[in-house]
Amino acid sequence: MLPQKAMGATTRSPSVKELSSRLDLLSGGHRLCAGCAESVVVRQVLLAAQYPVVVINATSCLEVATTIYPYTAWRVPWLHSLFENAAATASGVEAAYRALQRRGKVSGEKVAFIVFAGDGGTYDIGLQSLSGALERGHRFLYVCLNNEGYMNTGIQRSSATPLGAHTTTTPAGEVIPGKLQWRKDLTGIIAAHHIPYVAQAALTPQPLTDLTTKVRRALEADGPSFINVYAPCNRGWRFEPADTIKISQLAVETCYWPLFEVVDGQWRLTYTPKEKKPVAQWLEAQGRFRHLLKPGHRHVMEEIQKRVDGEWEALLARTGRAPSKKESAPPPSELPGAPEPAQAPKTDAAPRTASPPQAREAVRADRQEAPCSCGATSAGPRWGCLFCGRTCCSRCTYAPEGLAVCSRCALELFGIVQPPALSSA
Amino acid sequence: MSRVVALTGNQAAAEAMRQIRPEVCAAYPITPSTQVMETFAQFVADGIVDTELITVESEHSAMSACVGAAAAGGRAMTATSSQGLALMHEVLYVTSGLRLPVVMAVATRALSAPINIHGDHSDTMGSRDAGWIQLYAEDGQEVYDSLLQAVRIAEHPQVLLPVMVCFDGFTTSHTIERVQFLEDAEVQAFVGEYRPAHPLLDLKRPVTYGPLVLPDYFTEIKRQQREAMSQAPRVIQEVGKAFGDRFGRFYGLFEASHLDDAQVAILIMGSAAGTARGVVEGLRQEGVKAGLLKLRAFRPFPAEELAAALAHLQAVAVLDRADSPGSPGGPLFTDLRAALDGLQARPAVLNYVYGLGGRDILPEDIRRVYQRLLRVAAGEEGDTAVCEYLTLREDPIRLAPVGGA
Repeated sequence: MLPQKAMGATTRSPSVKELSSRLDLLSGGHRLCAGCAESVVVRQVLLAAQYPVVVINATSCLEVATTIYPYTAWRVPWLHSLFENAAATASGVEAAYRALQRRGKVSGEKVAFIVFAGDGGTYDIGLQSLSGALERGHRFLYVCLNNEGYMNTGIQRSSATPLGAHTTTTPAGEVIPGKLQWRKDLTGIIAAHHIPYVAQAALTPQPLTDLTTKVRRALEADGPSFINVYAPCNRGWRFEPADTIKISQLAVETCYWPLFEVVDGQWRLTYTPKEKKPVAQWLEAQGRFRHLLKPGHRHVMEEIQKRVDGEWEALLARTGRAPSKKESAPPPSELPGAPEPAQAPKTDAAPRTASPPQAREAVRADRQEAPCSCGATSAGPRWGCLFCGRTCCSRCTYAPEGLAVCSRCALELFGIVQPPALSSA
Repeated sequence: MSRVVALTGNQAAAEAMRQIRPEVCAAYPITPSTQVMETFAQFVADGIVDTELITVESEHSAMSACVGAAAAGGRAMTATSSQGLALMHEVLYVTSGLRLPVVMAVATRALSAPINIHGDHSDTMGSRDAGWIQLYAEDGQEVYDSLLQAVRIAEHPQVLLPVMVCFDGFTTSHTIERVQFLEDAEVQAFVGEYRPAHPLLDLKRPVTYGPLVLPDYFTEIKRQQREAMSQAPRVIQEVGKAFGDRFGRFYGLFEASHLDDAQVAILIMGSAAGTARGVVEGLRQEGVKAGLLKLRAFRPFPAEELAAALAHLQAVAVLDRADSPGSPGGPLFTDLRAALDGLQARPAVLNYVYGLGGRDILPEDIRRVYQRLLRVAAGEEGDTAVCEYLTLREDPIRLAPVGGA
């Protein structure tokens, strides 16, 4: 019998004392890097599980580092198939379990099927199979170990990588300041499947049992459940291995990675920082954003702050809590040690990119605003140039991959004379 | 007791699946195999089979779900064609590499581009190195019988490899033919109960499935797969004989017609074997010593057995229903040439590619092949061994000159 205590159906928060009395189901001796968040997340998830666990693992750091043949770190049944099909594979395991149970070939006890996959395997290549499995209603908990990039292949950008981050496929260069796009709102996409339980979690001393409580709630759900867990990668993000938890906490305190859950469609914050810290504190702690601290890239930091603020306010609205002044961070220019302004003076506070919903409010407001910097006076959406901040309109904006670059920067930086017109969102 | 019914090859496959009663079927529609899963879904909806039917969002997920279900300890089946099989490609290797006895019905079809929904063997030939056993069926009856046998072959402890039962898209999948079905209890008794040695769902003995294997062990694991495949010819024959002993229809690695005293013969797979057999019967009435070898097991390729069966011939024509551009010939041809390599005196071997994208092959086409074989046998023509296209349009489509006028 597995060394797991029968704990009954409960969604109460397991105490740390209680968790520490259980046997780790992921043994030591695996080859994950020192300071890696993944093993900590996995151990907490397995410790919190109130039922016997069967793990399905996508190809990932976790998979390669824990199962180098002929060794395995797993004390639970474990299956790895491929990169993009963990949810589909779990569908098969779970369906077989139901069929075998119905035919009396396995015992009737409840089993927790838990999928572990990285953000590459979840946000990108595995999104289709995950979406399909959620729609079909398979009963498993899918845990995304979100380290914001393809770390297993050596730090490439994923759609979870934040704006401005340096990765090996979005290197910070003389012209392009790291990744040019904001991250995908995967947790929102999963919530849109209207499955019983969706949450975002992180390894935080405050609140200490947030993740383990969410795991228990997820495993009680009558259907699929999903937890997007923030998993800092010291190799990819460039910070000291000892700072993994600190970075996690900063992400939570800056509201870059808010802790919340969506239970049967009801959005609820599980933690609200007493004081919302400026996102610069989180950025400055990581080498992948180092280039943003240089003069000339300040607008990217501002953009990140704006995005974070927008998402936080949208989350507050979704959770039934109106945004308040107190919770919005001071603008970066007021921060001590903030970098000098970029070369071009800011002419307005227009959002700098065109795509996400929270930016649309601001775009609409701008319709009544002054003429565009190109001279156009017609009403229409306005954007801010990613590089100089200048206001630009659908006539004069070059829009690579959903971002806005004004015609002057497009010419100077990319040699593009006639920017293609940006369709108004 | 058995029932004789008139059904399509697809429906025969679905009936076999219902009687096998796997724990899990994963389905995604693709022409021409769609009807297999449609029919099976109706069985599930009507409550006459208690399989968990997973209607996945792609063939990649279909095979992935089969991997999960088979690893869990259940029987898992699916059906597909063409692009679906191509999309499954990487999962096929996982299935065989993890030694999971999944059984799949494949209504074979051409691969894009250009898109074409009709039958040829391009799809399954693309999977020939994926570590799956491939059995080719000529008609609906063989589809049904082979699926039942496939379960026993796949699950044999010395094999433990996935099996695809391949039948020609539309020609077999959609043609209504007479099929003799066994009783449910007979099928259950024949396939037996599946008792996997190391099911994932054995919670008391946790196993790690699909670990990372580095150069220190990878080669040995691949060698075990080859070893398992080398056991398969014996098991295919044993299971085929056991099936025949019980139900009267015997199966082996291939089926020969008029081969023993033949001077020339054709090697072919799938539905066109029926057409070729008719031609051979006609030639025999004319006194021509023509023979036919219909290959059933393409993987494992029964090299020794084929060499022994064909050694006495003067000339053989291999009819490939798929091309392998850039290779010396079609996939069946290159394998057969390798198989004959060890013979002291081997027959001349010709290669024809036919039936691509559902192009009909008519008796007169096959008769032309035999006529050429006879010329080669008589020394009137050399053994050119050049891959030729049978039934190619005589007049190539003329392109309009560039620039008009």
